[in-house]
Amino acid sequence: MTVIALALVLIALAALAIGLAAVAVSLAPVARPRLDRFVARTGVRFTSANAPYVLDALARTMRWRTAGVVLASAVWFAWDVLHQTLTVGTYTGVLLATGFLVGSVVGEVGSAVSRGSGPRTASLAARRERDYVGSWARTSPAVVAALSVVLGPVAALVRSEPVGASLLVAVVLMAWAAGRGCTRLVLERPRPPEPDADVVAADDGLRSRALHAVGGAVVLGGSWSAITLVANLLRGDGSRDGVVAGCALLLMAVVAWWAWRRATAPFLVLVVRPVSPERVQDGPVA
Amino acid sequence: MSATITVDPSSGVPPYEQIRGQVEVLVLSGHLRPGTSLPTIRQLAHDLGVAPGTVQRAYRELELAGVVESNRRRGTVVLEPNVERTSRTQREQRLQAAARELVATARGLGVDLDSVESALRGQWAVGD
Repeated sequence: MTVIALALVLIALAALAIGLAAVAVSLAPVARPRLDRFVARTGVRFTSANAPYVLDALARTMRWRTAGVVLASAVWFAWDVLHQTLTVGTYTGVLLATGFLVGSVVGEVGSAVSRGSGPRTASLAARRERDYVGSWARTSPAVVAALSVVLGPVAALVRSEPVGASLLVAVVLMAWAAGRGCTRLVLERPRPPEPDADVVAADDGLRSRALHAVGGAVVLGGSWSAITLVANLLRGDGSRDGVVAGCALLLMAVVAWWAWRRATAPFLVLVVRPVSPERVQDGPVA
Repeated sequence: MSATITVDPSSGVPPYEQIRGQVEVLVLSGHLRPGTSLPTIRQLAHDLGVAPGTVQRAYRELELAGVVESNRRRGTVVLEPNVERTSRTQREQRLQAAARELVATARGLGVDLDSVESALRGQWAVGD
């Protein structure tokens, strides 16, 4: 058996394993720890009234994340099969991370709210981004995009590589614009028709979670591009580009994770209301 | 608690007129204060389950009547109610629209004209 044949067998086995894992994850019910994390971070009471919305949103996000990783893996395997090689490196990780981030955003932006045929009531309060995410999370995507726009031309001039730098800047700007569009979609997606306070609070919690995910994806992707541009400026002979980019990705993942864990959710101040006695009797779902 | 509006698809009144009439009543009654930003067209359309064009038309008519002002930066903002600025015909039209809405609500609730009149007199007395 040749090395190429062995590589293709390995690719086929990896594809099968990822496919099976994706099916298992997609069909599995929402795990209790995920639900507990959502409740702990948002402070939303999980009740029988809002359970369908919360569980549907958490399950949908997991399905789309999985789909993103599977799609990225498919691109990776297709590339390897076409080129009859087996590539495992920094850019494979970047591809899989991109698939995960794009899948997360698509899953968070979607909504499964359905409307009946009777009269429909809506609040006249405008939903604003600042009601759901803190100032750091609101401004950081724009800061990262601006940083890339400044660094791009410098890198292009210093290293005489305008194409690569322009491509990175274009990707960051497109990610930022897509992030703005997704933010708007999240803010404008319909509210559940039930006037129940717990349903409204859960809807606000899911909206805040979605906006954090969108902003986080833009910051993570944009920061990686910005740090790659910096690495481009600092590097010597270019032989360690992959290592530098990989370290930058890892560093940004850690920083973004830490910063997002600290991000506040100011919407809680707006939606928490006194609980009526009948809702207490209904109680949280065990 | 923020102001809410309701659209009844089975009502004889067009949805844009239902939205326009309710927003106008909320502004004139002081429930929506001057400077308040109204939801974006898409937000309100999605929440009410109507086409964005329906909300757009309601907002446009409110803007023409001087009830709200559209601003690129702040969106659609409530203006100071100005009864003098409103012509007699416009006032008559608004009154008719509000009356249409009240009649539709009363019929939906199955109450008779006497009950409506009594409710109106009660509200009028509160206003005084």
